Amino acid sequence: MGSLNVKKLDHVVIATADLEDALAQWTRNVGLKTDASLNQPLGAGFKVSRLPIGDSFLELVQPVEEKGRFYEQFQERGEGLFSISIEVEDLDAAIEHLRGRDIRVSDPEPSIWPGARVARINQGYTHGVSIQLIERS
Amino acid sequence: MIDKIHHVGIAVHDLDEALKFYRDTLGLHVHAEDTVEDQGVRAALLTIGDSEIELLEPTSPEANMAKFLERKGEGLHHICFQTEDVDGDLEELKEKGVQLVDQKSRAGLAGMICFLHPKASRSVLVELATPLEMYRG
Repeated sequence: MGSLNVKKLDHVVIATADLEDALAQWTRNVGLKTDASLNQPLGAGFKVSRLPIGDSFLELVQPVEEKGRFYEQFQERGEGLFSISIEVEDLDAAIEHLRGRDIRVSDPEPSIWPGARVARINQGYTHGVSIQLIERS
Repeated sequence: MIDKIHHVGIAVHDLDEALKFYRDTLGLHVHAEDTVEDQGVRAALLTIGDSEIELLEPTSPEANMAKFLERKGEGLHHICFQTEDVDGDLEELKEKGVQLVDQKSRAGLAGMICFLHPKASRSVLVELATPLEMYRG
């Protein structure tokens, strides 16, 4: 079944109730700046800003519609670190590897990033961390 | 000031259990493992691309990490950014009036480190680290 062939930490998602204020604080206090070239929209229910750092980026997300998985989790957990996204070489092989070890993983689906696909590992196996696997083409 | 995500810290009840997932299932390499007595944690650092995942288990019920687990349960705890000059950054942050946990850098698993107050970045605990091989203090 091989291994997962993890490439890198693709990005870290941070939930916020006020995107403008969060962005201002991250820029002023931590020195990170938003990059419009990373401006893939997340969909109508979100305001999002991405801040590149090294070969990764932070994704600040504010839910603006009171529905959906992200909004529900945000209600439960509040502002702060929300999830991590791990880039793998081959998403189908990664899912097969995990399922072979009895770990629940969602079926692959298209990502907001052109050409990329994603799947989520069930949080019951990850010690409380919301982990997305992403394969970029 | 900062170059990359050095690591993402994850609070866990039992480090050995967590290693079964992050090391054995995800296949990440453990490159450091240590107990940091003054912080009350037993920690392991696992390589993920150019960054790391840090698993943190409290060593006593009085440790801050134990209180975090009691309050929020297992999951993402902090994000650490690598910088060439943690002391210079601290001086700059103090001049700007940024809220800090540490007024001076101290030795941690990632090198010489300091924590900013979560209020400085809308409820995200941020750590800055200069690895010892880069540190000129």
